Amino acid sequence: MAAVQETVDKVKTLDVEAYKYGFSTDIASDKAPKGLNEDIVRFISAKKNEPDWLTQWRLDAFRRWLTMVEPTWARVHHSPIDYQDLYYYSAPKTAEGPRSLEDVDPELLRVYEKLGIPLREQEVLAGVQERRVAVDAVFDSVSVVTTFKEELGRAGVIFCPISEAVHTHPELVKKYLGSVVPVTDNFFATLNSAVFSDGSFVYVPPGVRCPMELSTYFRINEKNTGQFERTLIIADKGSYVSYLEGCTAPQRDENQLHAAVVELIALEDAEIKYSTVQNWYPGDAEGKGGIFNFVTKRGDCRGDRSKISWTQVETGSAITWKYPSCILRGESSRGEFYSIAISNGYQQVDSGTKMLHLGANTSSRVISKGIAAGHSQNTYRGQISAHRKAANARNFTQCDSLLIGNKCGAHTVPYIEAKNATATFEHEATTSKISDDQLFYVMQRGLSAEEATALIVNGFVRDVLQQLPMEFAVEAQKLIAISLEGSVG
Amino acid sequence: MGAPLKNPTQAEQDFLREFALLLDKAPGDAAERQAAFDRFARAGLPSRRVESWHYSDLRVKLRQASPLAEPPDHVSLDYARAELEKVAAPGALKLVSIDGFFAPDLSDDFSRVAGVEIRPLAALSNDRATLALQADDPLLDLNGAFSPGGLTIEIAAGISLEKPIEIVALCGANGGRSRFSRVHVVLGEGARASLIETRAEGFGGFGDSALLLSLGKAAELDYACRSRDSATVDVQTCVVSLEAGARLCATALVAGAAFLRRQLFVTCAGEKAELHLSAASMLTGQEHADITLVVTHQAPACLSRETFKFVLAEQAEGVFQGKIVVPPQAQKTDGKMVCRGLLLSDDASLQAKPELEIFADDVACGHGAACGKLDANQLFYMESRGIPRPEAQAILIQAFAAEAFDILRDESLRDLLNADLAALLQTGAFA
Amino acid sequence: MLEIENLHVSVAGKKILDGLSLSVPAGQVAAIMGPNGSGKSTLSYVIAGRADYDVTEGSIRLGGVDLLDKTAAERAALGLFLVFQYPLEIPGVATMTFLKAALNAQRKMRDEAEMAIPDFMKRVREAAARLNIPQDMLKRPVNLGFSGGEKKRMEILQMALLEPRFAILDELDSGLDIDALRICADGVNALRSKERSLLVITHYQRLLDYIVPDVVHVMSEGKIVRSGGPELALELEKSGYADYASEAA
Repeated sequence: MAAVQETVDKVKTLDVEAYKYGFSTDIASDKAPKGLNEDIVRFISAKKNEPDWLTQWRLDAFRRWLTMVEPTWARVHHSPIDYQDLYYYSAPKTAEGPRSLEDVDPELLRVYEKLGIPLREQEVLAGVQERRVAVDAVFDSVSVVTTFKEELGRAGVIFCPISEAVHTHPELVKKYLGSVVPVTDNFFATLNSAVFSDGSFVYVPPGVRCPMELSTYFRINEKNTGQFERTLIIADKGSYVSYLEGCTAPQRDENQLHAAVVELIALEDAEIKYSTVQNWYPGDAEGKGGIFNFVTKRGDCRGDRSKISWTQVETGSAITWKYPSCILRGESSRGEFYSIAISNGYQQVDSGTKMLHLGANTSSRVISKGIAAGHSQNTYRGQISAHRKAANARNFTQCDSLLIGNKCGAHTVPYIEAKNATATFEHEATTSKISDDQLFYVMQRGLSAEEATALIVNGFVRDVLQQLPMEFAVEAQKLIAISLEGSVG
Repeated sequence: MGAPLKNPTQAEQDFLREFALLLDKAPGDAAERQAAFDRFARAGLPSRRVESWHYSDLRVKLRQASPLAEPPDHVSLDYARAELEKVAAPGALKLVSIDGFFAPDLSDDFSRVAGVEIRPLAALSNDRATLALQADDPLLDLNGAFSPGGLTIEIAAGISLEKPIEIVALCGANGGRSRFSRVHVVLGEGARASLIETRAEGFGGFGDSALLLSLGKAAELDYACRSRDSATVDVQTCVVSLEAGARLCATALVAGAAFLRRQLFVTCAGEKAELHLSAASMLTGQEHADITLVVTHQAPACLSRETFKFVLAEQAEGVFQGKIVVPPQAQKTDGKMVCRGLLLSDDASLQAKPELEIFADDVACGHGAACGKLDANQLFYMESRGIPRPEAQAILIQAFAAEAFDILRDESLRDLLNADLAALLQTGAFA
Repeated sequence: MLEIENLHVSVAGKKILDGLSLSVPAGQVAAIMGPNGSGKSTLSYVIAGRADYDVTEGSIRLGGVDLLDKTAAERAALGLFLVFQYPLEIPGVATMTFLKAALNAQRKMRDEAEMAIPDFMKRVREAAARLNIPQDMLKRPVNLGFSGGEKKRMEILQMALLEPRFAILDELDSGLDIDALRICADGVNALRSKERSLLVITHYQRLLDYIVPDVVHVMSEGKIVRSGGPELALELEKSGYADYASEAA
């Protein structure tokens, strides 16, 4: 398997603390003053030239947020976050809002090149990549460029920064924003509602199969900057879209906050596939620094026979707190959650999903693979519930944990709530380690301990990797080996 | 007076008042009782905001606490004697309590049973000391504060008891009181015994009982609990500690419960201890039973198997919370937990939360949970062979629930629970 | 080719090999026979480099290279191959993927170029056909759900592919019926050559009807107690191992 070899080569070129994406870029930026108050909220709204309803919406959220407290139920520990010591808005200075690649700071383009993300359409069209991916690149808080807009436009697909959609498609934004994750949903989502700066907006019209993968790359660059992106994807009746999200951040000693909100809406017979490869900076070998990743992601299967599928590969962040969920409202709608969460060093992961079965004949499937190494703590937390009207609801959940070493922990906390006799729920969980016999067998065939571990772990997570689009699967496989580096004694 | 209750509910105020009245006359160490009550007061009655009580909001359910039960008078004694005839298991050595008070007149004479000693459980500090008590629970503390003495049953090292011991908890003629009871069963090294706990109808009020089981090295205990109380708000706590090589097979048949919280805190304290836990909860009407379990594998190479079954009809609510904890030193732990629910009505519900908390890498742990309805194909197959539907359904339910009792080694206990189950199904409550 | 001198090995403080010496020259097929518990499997694991074995004294050399300070993978790259008595199952890893990873890891350690995929596929397919291994078995995860015979055939397939110069066959016949045994033995015999040595470990003489050894060593209580030609195996079949227990003592 070439990928394993490549992975191993990559691992070898790194030393323990080397985080591949840990470079920071020197670009002049335009920042709001530190701290958070109504003026800052107004400042952000004004920067985006937002209509009054949205400014009010943000202010409502902010006032709500003041009355809320940080949730404590997750199995994560961190020093208190000083919300007044953060910048809530940071944009590359050139940005009036770039209209085309020519407007983009060349330094920024180089950053994305370093990240391996092609933004230049001509490169992509020249056959650098076989499959075409439209990219929306978000740098700190601002979307810097969106590729392939024209071609998508011909199919009727809208793919643009949400700040732009507010102006170009206000009726859609107004109708759907906050309709899945309400302003009052939770502490971090409410904060995001008050201060979100940018993110992607996607609308796929009825009957359209989006002609290419859509993708957003998020990067936090500025120091002390919170990133609060907001993504809204609407798949109209009978449409299909596959969306990929990738994340990186430079190495910083301090913790940086990332509190995103993603809302997905699938109408009748529509399907949304949402994939994430999250590789935010995890902190150093002593657990210093790293991103606090407090994310609210939720999909609403609003129409009958609609389908939403979440796939995530979580390898980065000091703390990951996220539960991509599906509200299965439409009859015969389907939700899926496929997850690989790898923690090493002092990382803490508390992640999982919620599948809320409201409609009849709804089904869901959850496959979670947690791998804990080093001193990390890795928790799967998932809720499956069937309500009174959810006749014949079906869920299958499998969550497997793998421990590498004896200083880490793997935990499984499922909540299974059946309020319907015709519901059928099945849940299976296992925790194990890589057996010495397995390792020896593979090593006897010539692989080193590290290669053997990577091979076995890749086998362990295979069910989930298969769910990823091809380009991401390869990247994810490399990430897995890099993340586990140093874990084999 | 120790820690004050914050915004006390009516029930909490009732407890505070009753405790003040009780303190002077209660047996044992008053300071111990006070400390237990203070711990309870700091936590208060648990509400749904307490994670481990999320599905059983006792704070709401227990609006007020009825007065403490008094020691049984003659009327109660006669009443209980008649009741005993109906509920006691045949052939067992009986230890009877009425409203939590030991009733020697109704109990068997243990003085001639070799190797068994029955003593009053005078000082609460004793069981704190002998048990590796991991349970930090307000209802256990409340029990410690109010329990009228209680009993210690000690089975000497190396003794194998021929007959099972049956603890029969009866209610006196004045039903509806607040009742507390506490029994500590101690098995010496290599001792073997069977234990039946029979909990009869309590006619309302509040019950808070504690059963403490200490198994010495290589001791073996089979334990079957029969619980049937369709009126009382009842909390049953079982705290277990297993020394090296000890084996406990514990099961329960919950054949009716108004609002039951049955919680088990088990510590595998010695290497290679073996634990088999199970229960079948048969609920109907608006009954609510919450089985909560924390199994801590403190020592390496212990084995635990947990199988919990729920059969839920009408608007019944079943709750299962099971947690297996494996600290770093408990290598070679082998733990498997299964929860299965059978929902017979659209209005019945099951909440299951099987948790794993694992810090050791060389372990094999797993859990499974499933719920659904009766298998239509199986029903059809049986019907096509001429078995009427209600009977077919009863057979399938019996098979489903009785699997919980398979863990028992003592066949007489298994037979007893199977007979109870069959009798329950014959009432047609689950047809 | 393989030189073992005065090898002492214990496991968890218990002595298993007690001054074992053995020499297998290039091209030789040597059989080791012995009763259960004589240390046969320990010997194969120690040669292959499995952890948890304490080598307290002695040496193992392959082609003049000291094996004891090498990892299992390095030993494999030096041309050592162990047919496991109980091949391991590896969920999620396709057999093809596994074979390719192993082959290329070894080639890389020997500074050889990776094998081109078409060449690799061709070699695997040919070897599989010879061993009666259906193609779809190669797509399944390594050994997962395979029968005992299938697992052993897969071991021989790996051996054919990796072309070791020294192979140890640990109880190849266990769990095999006669037909499966013949297929495996034919596979092994096809790999016999002047450059390649085999160490056939077995409890029963039966296997040696199919893989005829050049020499037979009898092992008892952690050392070689007798050596001879193939006729020694037949003798053992008649008289059993009982005589050797005292000899070693």
